[in-house]
Amino acid sequence: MESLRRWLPIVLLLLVAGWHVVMLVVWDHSSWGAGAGFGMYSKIDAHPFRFTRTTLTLDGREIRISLPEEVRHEELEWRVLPTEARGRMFADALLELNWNDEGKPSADGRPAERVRVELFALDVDRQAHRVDAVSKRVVEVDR
Amino acid sequence: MTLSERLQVVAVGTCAVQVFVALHDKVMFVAVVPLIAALAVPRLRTNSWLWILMALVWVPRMITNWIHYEDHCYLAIYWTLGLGLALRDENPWEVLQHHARWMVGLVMGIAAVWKIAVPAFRDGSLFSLVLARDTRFAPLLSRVAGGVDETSWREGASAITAMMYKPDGPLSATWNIGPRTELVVDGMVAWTILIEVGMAVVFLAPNRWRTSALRAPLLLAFCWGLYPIVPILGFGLLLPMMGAVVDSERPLAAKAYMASMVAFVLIGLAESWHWQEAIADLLVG
Repeated sequence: MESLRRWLPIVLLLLVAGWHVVMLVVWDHSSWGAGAGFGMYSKIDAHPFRFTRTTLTLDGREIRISLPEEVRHEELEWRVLPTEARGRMFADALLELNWNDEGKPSADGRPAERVRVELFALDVDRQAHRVDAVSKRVVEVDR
Repeated sequence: MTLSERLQVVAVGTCAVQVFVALHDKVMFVAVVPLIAALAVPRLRTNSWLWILMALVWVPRMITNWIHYEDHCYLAIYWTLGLGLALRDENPWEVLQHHARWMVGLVMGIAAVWKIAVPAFRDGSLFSLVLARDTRFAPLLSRVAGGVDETSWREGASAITAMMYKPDGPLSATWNIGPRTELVVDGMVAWTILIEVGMAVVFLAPNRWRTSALRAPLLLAFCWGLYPIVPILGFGLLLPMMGAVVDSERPLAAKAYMASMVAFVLIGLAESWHWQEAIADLLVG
């Protein structure tokens, strides 16, 4: 029992941090936040520096849209854990919404026929003071 | 301070940390508010089961609402559990010091390993990008370090923002933080690796080693080099408190830690009045 009192929190810290590393290696989980790997301010390819772009197909026309508030949570989850499944959850959440002609969510609008979401990471060339967006994953779902 | 007084102070400090963690998941105020009420009864502050319960009560939300739980939230829960377990021991303060020493040492060691292992950190790319996007320091560094004008810095930050957040934005951007600020970046990289490795070594080394005298200087230097700039209050409260527990036999160090906790809270509040610009105006006008 004395060992348990002395070491349980420490062992938990190590196990959870180790699991975070496994998630990073296997699923490209962000090294920052949303976890306990203590990898903050280490990698550029982490969710604060990942971003998404969304394209809707409305009446046969493709529109690129800004991220609506209604799906911010799903989008954040995809940036943190950029798997195919999380991407589909994000895209499905967009399919649930109705849209007006300007590509804004609208209760009076109509649903999209297709949603395409793309996740980007940043690639930095420090010498050139340049940053490029690199596509990590694309998910397309049809209604 | 007597043992009882020390434990009371740690209890209040841990409660403050719990309140801060609850800000990340406001539903948890349902649990934290009763804790604050319980702590109004002095003898409950050192009730081991209260603290063990206050650690376990977070677990369901950490699983279901995992996206909102950052590293310092986890550390706060490990610490809360450690406090509860220590209070069940014959020598609670010694066990608490053990927890604090190992938690600080491991957190710093793990963080150092990440940074050493990642090329984008080692070559300064990450810190360059962070500074290029963070215009809080543009007024100060552009005027004090020189080599770049504030407008140019802000244009670079805007270009990166447009790339990341405009639906039809470009897929590349350039920035300019000036050659002297780039030197500051190199210094930041070296400092960060050295201090995190240093802290891991001195906190994980046995207490009887002379390196234990370096714990307070290194941890205070780390905290003051980071939290005024990046006010992560979760760590800014927890790490100094752990340091004060480890160095409780060094009154000056313990006071410095406690004063730092107060200062970081005030700095966090002052962030809203852009102290960096105020200093730039003061220095250069």
